[in-house]
Amino acid sequence: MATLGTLIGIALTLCVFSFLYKDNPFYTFAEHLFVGLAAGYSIIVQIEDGFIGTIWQRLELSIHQGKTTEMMIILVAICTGLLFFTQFIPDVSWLVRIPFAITIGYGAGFAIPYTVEQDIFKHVYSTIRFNETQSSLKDNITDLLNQGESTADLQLQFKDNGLVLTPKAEIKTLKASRKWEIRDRLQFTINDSQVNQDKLNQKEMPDGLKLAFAKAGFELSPTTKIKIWKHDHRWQITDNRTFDLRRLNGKLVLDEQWVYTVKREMKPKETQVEVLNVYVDFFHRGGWQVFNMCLIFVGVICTLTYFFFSVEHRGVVGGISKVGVIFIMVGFGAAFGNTVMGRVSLLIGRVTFLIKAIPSLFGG
Amino acid sequence: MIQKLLSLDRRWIFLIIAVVVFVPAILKIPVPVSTISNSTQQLYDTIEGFEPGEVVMISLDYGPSSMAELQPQLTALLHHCFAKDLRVIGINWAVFDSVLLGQNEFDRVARLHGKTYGPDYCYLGYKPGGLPNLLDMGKDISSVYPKDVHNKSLTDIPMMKAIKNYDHISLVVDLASVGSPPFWINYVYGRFQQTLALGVTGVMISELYPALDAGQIVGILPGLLGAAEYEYLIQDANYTMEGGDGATGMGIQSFLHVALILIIVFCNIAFFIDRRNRSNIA
Repeated sequence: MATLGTLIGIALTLCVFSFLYKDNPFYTFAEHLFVGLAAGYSIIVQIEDGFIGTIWQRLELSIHQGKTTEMMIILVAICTGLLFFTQFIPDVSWLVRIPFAITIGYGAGFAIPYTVEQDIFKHVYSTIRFNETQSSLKDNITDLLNQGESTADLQLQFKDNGLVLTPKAEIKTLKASRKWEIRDRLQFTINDSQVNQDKLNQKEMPDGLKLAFAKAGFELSPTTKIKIWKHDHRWQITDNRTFDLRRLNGKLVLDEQWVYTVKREMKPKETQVEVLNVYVDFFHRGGWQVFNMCLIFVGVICTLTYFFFSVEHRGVVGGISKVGVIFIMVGFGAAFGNTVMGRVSLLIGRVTFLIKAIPSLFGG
Repeated sequence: MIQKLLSLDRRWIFLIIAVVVFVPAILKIPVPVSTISNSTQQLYDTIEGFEPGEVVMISLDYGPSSMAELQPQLTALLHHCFAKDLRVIGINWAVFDSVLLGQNEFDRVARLHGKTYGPDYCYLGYKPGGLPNLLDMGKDISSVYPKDVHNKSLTDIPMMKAIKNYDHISLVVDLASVGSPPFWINYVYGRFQQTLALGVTGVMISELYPALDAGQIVGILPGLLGAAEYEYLIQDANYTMEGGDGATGMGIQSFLHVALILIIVFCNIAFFIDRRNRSNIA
């Protein structure tokens, strides 16, 4: 059976490739077969998993269990869905507006806030964030304070427990306050003698590096993990600590006994166990990052200027929009290059299949 | 001569491409991975930072037509997750025709790492419904998937007893060849603050880098290149000894890129020579 499947796969692949020479009945056959199979399979899946699996079985269950309200909701949903078909009956075709209105209303109502927030605000923020300073810390603390958490006290306790955060530390509340993530990023220059690549390769912390971190205001814990990225001579130093947090007089406090291991297993919400990941991401490319951020900022401004038609594109505006054109061309070029790479990958996938499949037919 | 070259039948170019693809594929000429993209490294580091038992959900939103690019990504991710003793849930949120592709690969890679269905991984398959399904999984996964692909109730799957919704999932990876990533980003990250990563085709990658920059996703695998890079990382860490299709494919692609660049340069030179000749005649 597997051999038959492979044989069909080889034959159809060759049929499709034959189009590269010229259009022919073999290609047409493969094309029609694909469209027919895809449509047939799609209809079966939609009926089996969609209508029967999602609607019909629930309706049956609600009838058997005597849940009248649930049954009525499902029946209303079915009837509303069936109204889509009224467009084929001219006398009552206006009824199709009802399911359309519900679908579009629901979709738009849901999509607009999230799309604006995620597609516009987030991206605009990421474009200008190189101006970000310590205000992020302040903002985050304010956010947490708004949620009634005593963050200043918490920070003090971090310090008492040997965890010194730099002024650039960012505090993020994840998943409705269940997790707190503190990110502290340091970038500073060190010389080769401090690095001791051999020690790092053995995942040991060189003393020179430890001192360099301490000098920069970050005391590493004894359980500091070192991860080596062999490319670009980069390495990552991860300092993970888990704190047991509990509430005392309405404030979050650290338990005296806190664990030095990463513990991110699931906990029920009631236990109030929070996880803190403090990590230092250190690598040699800080300068390039700043350059990239500036480049993106300039690119966005110039590109937007090119599409700003309320002012005539002359003089300074003309110059900026010309730079914008260069950015647009680079963007299109990158997209085109990626597209070519993607299409070529599909060709390679088929060729690799042929090379593996043909010998397998002969027991290879 | 130049005129002849400029009016060359395009099928000759197809033939050249075929030779350039078939020869390295048959001879299996290795091409080493020299650099790792930041986006790939970030995803690797995220998974690397997880502790045993944490849960990764992989959504296979691609069909067989994009299998060449995304299936090697799935294989590499599964090797990494299983080697680190993470628990993995497989779903097909947007595309129904890759259920078998995913299911078979989950079973195959799990077998290599000695993992069993139920306690270590499960495959929930496809459910029609689209966006409401994504949102409902934030409240209760079993309301969308009461049963897995084997028609087994979720309550009978050991690992799913402790996993109710996104709160219990450390990372969601969307492997996509369709327009699903914006939905995962806008609603699952936006509404539930779920840690998210993507693996996408080369065609889609350019428009998704801003999401990485904005911190909406923790990493992104760019097509076959991403798969090859990820395979290199997991082999380097001794998580698997299995050679992946990503590295093989990128080896072939390297030769093909050289051929394409040469063709483009050659054709441009011929074009400019022809234009100069024409202007001289005029």
